[in-house]
Amino acid sequence: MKVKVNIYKGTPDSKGKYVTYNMDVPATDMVLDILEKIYHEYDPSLSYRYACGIARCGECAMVINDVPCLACERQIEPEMTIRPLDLPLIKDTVINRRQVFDHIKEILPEPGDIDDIYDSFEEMDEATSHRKIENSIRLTTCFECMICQSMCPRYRSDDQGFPGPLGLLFLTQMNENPAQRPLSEKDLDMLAASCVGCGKCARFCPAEKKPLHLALELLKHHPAKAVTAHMVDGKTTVQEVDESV
Amino acid sequence: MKIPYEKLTFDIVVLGGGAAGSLAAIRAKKLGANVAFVTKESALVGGATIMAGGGTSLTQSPGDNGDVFFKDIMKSGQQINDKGLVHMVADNCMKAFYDLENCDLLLDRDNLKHQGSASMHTVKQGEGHAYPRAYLDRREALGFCHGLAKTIERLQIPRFTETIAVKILKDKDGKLCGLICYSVIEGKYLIIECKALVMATGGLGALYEETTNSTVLSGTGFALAFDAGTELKDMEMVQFMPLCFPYPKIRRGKIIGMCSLLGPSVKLYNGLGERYMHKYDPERKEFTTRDIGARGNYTEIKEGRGNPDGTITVDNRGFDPAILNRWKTANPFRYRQCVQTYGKKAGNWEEPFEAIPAQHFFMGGIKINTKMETGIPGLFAVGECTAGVHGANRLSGVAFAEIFSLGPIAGQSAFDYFKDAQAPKFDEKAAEAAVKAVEKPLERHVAKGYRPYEIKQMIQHVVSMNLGPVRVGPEIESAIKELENIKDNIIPKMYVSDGDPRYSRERLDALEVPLMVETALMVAKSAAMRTESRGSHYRTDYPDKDPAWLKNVVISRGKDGGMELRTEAVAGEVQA
Repeated sequence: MKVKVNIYKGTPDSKGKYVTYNMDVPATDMVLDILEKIYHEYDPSLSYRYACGIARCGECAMVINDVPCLACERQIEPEMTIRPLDLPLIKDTVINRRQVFDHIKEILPEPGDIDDIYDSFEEMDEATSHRKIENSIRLTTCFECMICQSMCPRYRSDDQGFPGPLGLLFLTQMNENPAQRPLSEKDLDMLAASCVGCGKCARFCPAEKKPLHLALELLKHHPAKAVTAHMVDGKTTVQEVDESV
Repeated sequence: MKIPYEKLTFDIVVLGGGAAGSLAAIRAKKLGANVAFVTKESALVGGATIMAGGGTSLTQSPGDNGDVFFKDIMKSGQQINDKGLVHMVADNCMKAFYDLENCDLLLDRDNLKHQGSASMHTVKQGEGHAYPRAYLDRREALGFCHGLAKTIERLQIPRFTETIAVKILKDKDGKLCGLICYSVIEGKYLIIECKALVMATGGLGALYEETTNSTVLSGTGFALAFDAGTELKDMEMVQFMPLCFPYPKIRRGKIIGMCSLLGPSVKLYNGLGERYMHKYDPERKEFTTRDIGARGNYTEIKEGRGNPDGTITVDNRGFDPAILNRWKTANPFRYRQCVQTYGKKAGNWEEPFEAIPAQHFFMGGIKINTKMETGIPGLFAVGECTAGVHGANRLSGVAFAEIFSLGPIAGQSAFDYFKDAQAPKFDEKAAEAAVKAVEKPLERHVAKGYRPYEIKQMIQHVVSMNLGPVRVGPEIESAIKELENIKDNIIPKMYVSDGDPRYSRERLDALEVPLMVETALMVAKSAAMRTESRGSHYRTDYPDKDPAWLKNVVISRGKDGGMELRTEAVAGEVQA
């Protein structure tokens, strides 16, 4: 199959440009195969990130023809424009994931110990409802590709407040885990006040069980008024997003 | 081009970003040490752990216990396992497993409760297990990764991601005193001074063209440990998985699984349209163990009886819908990839699909004792990079049982050592010189040279062709010759053309290549020495198990820096 690939090349301190390659590749190729081919045959300086190749590590997320997705499971098209996610850039298609994680790390509470909460495993078993288990399982099927973070209109990597949708997901995971102390009202209020409930973050989530949808749903039922108002009155509710995916 | 370096100091460094390393780091940090966590990938917890199906073998059925589990692991490992280590895993796996819930992780408790019942998540008793033991997780291994990652972040353990270790440093007395790493993101070296180092660098999948492992598992840890002077054991023992994806390229070799997962209706056909597994295991046919399954598929393809594209065909028409449902629930990611790769019909088993065998796990590695000590004061190792637990073949679900049981012990041992140890004499000048020595080949300009990825592919080709699931003396010997040729004649002509050190894949490849070839040589030399077939090491010139070979092959570093091979009696002291 003949393909034309326009790929972003650039660093934070230089003006980026698109470089075009025309090549003939097997029709079964994924976009990540094309990046490997460019690195091997055309441009040794091309930066791209991946580890697993099977949509597990989330490291190869990028924007392909204006759709944020994982390059390892995105099938090739005759013409493709590839650029990095809209997050702090390192080089070419590689974004600064460490900076995003560090930002979230700031707001995570210190871990507790189950023994502080329960006397025995059985006691914890009793205290753990089926719903909690199901929520917890679904929330932890995220592979941290950061597509949600790049889509959020409220997230700013230089703003130390709101940790973005991924931070919201991390905090919700902890809140739903009966082995951990629930989050403080302050944290939940902060999330509720920062999230505008537009649902853009969840729109392109590549995780099968859509963990972020559940996190937003749980936040919607948070008593803080700010978010409830947004979620109900906002133009896009979470359910609508859910159905459109 | 001058590549900068930064000097850092920690009490303990944990090298390797999977669950074994995470658990070691968490334990050492909770005990009060200043710990750093160095990983090759960007994922918060990745390594081999993130690629796994999440199955964990536990002594949870009524009547099962550590002694029965011990016997099963020893039998599968063909009795060359380290008995002390096996006991530690068999006896402690249950407690270690439930302790994971202290790491921000909620186990898939519904699955635990339904264990042994007719729940659709449970699989039948695994091959080689005396009782049903599998804990399965609907997140595959992502649940473990999430939990451990959160705990590491919440404990504020400094994390150096996308950072590859290139040299382990010892002081004049032979004690560990630090290591040199290269940060791919920042394009600079890190000289890290520390009292103790825990290696949890995983296996060597990326030495093969087709592997179920991620690209970061290139086996560099073994070469680093060898260079530092540790002994390595069972380096010939490589496990293969029978059914893996043949395409797309990026997914080639990634795991589908074993026939037993797909239910009793599954049949394998070669390119001539014949069923063939009866030739390899007349009794169990398709439902044989993974070593024989992989060997069968490999032989058909290699001897030209595969499909034209070098695959075999899996036909599961006539499947039981309940089993398809179980497959979808218990292995949601694998199911999704099957649908993506083969289309909806074949992904749902209504049409046959193609598969290949691929490298899956490595049983050998750094020789350790029951305290995870390597023999070098201050250097510890745990997980797939160590030898002993699995012997000649790994039983399903024991890799996770191993890392959950032994990971925290490595952290404990490193802490105990650090607490009492006198500070090693760190020599910054020597460290600087070591950085220069590592960097020198990357600054080379040659007229007719090789790019690092080309050499990587050469190594992978030699290893895949000659050190696969079916081996024979002359091929192993030719692998040694070719790898030595790469080491002596090709690598000296390696050059890096990428001028920008920031996130340069080429620099990363260039740093991995010299270490990969060393590790590949260790595999080849050990395979040449073991003149019998045992477990996953199968030789057509010595097809039978030889009782005289009930021992381990051990590699140590000679005075001239070369590899010295010897055999050693199986480590047999059973823990009191």
